[in-house]
Amino acid sequence: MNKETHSNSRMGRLKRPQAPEPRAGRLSAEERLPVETIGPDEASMNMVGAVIEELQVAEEELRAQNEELATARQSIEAERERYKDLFEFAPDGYVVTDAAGIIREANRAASAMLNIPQHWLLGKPFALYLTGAERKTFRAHLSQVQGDKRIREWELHLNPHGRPPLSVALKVAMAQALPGTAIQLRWLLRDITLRKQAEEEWKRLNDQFRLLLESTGEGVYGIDLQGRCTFINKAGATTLGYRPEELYGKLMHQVHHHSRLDGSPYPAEASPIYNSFRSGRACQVDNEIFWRRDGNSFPVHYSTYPIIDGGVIKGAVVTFTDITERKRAEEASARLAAIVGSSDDAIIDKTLDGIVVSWNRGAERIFGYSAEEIIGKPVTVLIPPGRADEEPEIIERLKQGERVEHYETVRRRKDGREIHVSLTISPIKDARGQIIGASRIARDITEHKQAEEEIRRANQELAAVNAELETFSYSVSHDLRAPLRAMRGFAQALLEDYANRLDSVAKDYAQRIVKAARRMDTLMQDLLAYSRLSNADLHPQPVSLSAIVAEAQAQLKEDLQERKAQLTVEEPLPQVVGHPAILVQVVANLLANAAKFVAPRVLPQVRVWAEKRGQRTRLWVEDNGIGIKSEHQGRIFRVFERLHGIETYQGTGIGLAIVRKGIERMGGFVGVESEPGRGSRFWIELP
Amino acid sequence: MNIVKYTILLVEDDPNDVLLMERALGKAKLVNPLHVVEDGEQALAYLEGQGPYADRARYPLPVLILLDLKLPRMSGLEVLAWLRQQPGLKRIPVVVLTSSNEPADVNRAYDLGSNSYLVKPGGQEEMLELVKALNLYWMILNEKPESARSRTAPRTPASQGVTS
Repeated sequence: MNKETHSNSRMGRLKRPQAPEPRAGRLSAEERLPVETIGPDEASMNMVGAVIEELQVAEEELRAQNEELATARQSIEAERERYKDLFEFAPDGYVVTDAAGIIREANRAASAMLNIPQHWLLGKPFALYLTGAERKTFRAHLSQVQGDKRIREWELHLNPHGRPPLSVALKVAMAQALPGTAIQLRWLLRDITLRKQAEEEWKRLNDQFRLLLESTGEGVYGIDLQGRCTFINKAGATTLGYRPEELYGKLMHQVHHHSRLDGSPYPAEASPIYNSFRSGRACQVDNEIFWRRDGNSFPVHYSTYPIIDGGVIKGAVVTFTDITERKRAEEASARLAAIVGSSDDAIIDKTLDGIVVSWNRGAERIFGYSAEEIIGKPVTVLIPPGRADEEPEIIERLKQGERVEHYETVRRRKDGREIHVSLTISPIKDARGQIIGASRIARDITEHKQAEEEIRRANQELAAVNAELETFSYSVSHDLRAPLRAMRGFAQALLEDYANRLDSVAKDYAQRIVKAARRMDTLMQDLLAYSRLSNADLHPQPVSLSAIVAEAQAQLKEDLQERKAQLTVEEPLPQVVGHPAILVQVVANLLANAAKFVAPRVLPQVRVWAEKRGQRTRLWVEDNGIGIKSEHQGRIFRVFERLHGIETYQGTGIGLAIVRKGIERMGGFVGVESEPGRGSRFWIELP
Repeated sequence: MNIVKYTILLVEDDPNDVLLMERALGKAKLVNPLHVVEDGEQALAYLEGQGPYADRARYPLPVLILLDLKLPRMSGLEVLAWLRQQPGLKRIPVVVLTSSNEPADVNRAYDLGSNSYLVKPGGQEEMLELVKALNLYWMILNEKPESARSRTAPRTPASQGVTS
C-alpha cells in the first residue's frame, strides 16, 4: 500500500519531462539526423546546425532523465521492500482490512497473536478472531471510524486458535489512497497481558493498602510539602471530628495542631511533623495534644515519617492515636505507685509460690532488705525459725480466695532482729479471675506492741499505787483516827469526871486538846472524802437539782441556823446529769462556804438559781460575803488553800477543792465571780 | 427484879476505845456484862467456848456482838463471815463499830450479814448517846432470836436490859 503511494507521488514529480516521452522511440533515428539534413545553403546550414545542437542537448537531457528515472525506480523498490519488512517484522500485530472488516493483509505478529498462519487470515472477517461478546463493539467502531475518520483505540480480547483469550489494545485508522479508491482500515494490535497483570497487581496492592489503612484504629494521613492533606483514613478523620473528604487539601497543622495545651499558638515550623519533611527524619511524639473540630483537645501519640521518592522528600505520613485512656491509666497507676512508694507500711507483691515480685520503700524500711536484694527471692527469708508453717497456711487460704486480715505475727529483719507485724494479705486476680499472686501489706507494730506493753505495765503500776492509796486511806480512817479519839475522849473524861479538881487553866488546856483533836478529825474526814472522789466509780445519772439542793440544805440545817443564814432557792431547778451523793456534797460545801465567809455582824444571805447554757446547766450560789480578790480566785479551788487565819474563818481548806474535783469527775466546770466587799457568785456547770 | 443479864461481846483491840466504851456504858448505867476480846481469833474462841472460854456460865453466849473491823490476826469482816456460817451462832446480832466510814467497808459488812454499822464517834457526848441508843434498840426493843442450836435461851421481856 505504502509503496504504491510513494511510487505515485514520484510519478507525479516526473510528469513534466514526460511530454517528450512519445518521441523517445525515435531518438536513435534523430541521432542520425545531421547527416540527412545538412544542405549547400549557408544560412540553412547554420540553422540546421543550431537545431542539431539543440537536439543533442535534448537528447542528453533525456538520457539523464532516463537514468534518474531508473534510479528512482530502484530506490522506490528498495523503499517498498523496507516498509514491507517493517510491516512484516513489527513487534505489534498489524492487520489491514477493507471497509467490511475483511482481512487483506496481516503481519507475522498478528498471525502469532492469533496462532493462525498469515495466508489463512487473508479474506477472513477480522471479527471472527474476537471473543463473541466483543464483536458488537468491534462492529460499532468499524462503522464509526469510517464516518468521522478519527483514530479509535480500545481494549479487547482476541480469541487465538487453541489458546486462551489474549488481552490486546486495538487501534484503528482509516486510510484511502486517493479519492474514489477503496477504503482501507489499518489495525494495530498490542499484547497488553503483562500490562493488565501489572494493573491488577497494583489494584490489589492498592486495595490491600486501603483496607489496611481503614482497618487500623490509628489515624493515618499524608501531607505534601505544603502540609496539605493528600489522604487520611477514616479513623483519623473521625478522631479529629471530620469526614475524610472534608480534610483533603487542608493544611493539617491548622486543623489539629494550631495551639498548645495552654492555648498559646503553635507555629507549624516548630512542629515535629514539619520538621520531618524538612529534615527527612522520622520522629515519635507522645507529650503533645491534637485539637478536635469541636474545640476539645486530646493527648496524642503520633509518629511522622517523611515520604521519600527517588531521594527527594515529597511529604510526610503521620500516624496518630488518642491516648486519653492510656494517659489516664498511666496517671492512675502513677498515683497508685506513689501511694505504694510513700507508704510507711511494707507493700509486697508475691507469686503464689511466695516469690517476691515487688517491694516498696516501706518494706525496705521495715525489713531492712533493699528491693534489688529481695525481688525474686522467696518471702520465707522473712520468717523466723519456728514459724515456718505459717506461710504455707497463708498461701492455702489465699488459694481459696480468702483474705488474711490483721494477722499479727513476728518476722525477721535482714539484721536478724525480730519485729512484730500485722499482715493483711489479699489474693491478686488476673482479668479472668484466676488467682495469680498475693499482695501483702505488713505494718510494723513493734512500737505498738511495746506501747501496749508499757501501758499494761503502767496500768499495773497504777493499780498498785491505787491499792496502796486505798490502804493508806484505810489506815487514815482507822489507825490515825483512833489515837485522836482517845485524846479527845480522855480530855473530855478529865473535864467531866475531874471537873472539881481542875482549875480554870487546866480546864482550858483540856478544852484545847478536845478542840484540836476535833479539828484534826474533820481535816482527815475531808481529806478522805477528797481522795475518795479521785477513785470512786462514778455512774452519772439524771438527778433533780431541786432534790440535791434540798438534801444539802438539810445536811447543813444546824450550821445555817446557827449562823442565822437566809437561803433563797429560785425553784424550779432543772435536771442535770451527775452522781447524786457527790453532787450533794458539792452543793453542801458551796452553801456552807457561802454562809461562812461573811463580815462580822452580817447575816448571811444566800441565793441559789440555775440557768441553761446550751446543753448545759449552770447552778449559781450567790452570797453577801466578804468577796475574793481576783488574784486569789484561782487558788481557792486548790487543796489546803486558805485565805484566812484559822481564828477568823474555820475550815480545812478542802471544801472548794472537793467542789472542783467532784464536778470535774462528773464532766463539769466550776468558777467564781467575785469582788472584795461585794459578795461572791460561785457556779457549777453540768451536762 | 428478875433480871437476866444479857451478855455483850465487844471485839476491840484498842485499849483506849475499850476504856472509853466501858466509861460510856457506866455513864449510861448499863449493867449487862461486857466481855472484851482483843482480836478475831479470841472472838472465835469465845463464841465456840474454846480454851479459856470453855465455861459457859462464866462466858455465856452474847446477845449482841460489837465488832471492830480492823483487828490483828483476823479481821472483823472475817469473824463476821465465819459467824454467819456457824449453825448455833449465826443469828447473833452483830453491830459493826469501827473508825471507818469507807463505803467499801460499809457495803462489805452488810453483805456479810452485819445487822448495823456504826462509826466510832470522836467525842464523849456522842459516845454516850451511842451507847444509850444501842441499849435502847438492841437490848430493849429488839426481839432476840432463838439460838439456832438449842432453844435454851428464854424469851424475856423487853425492859430487862436496863436497871435504872
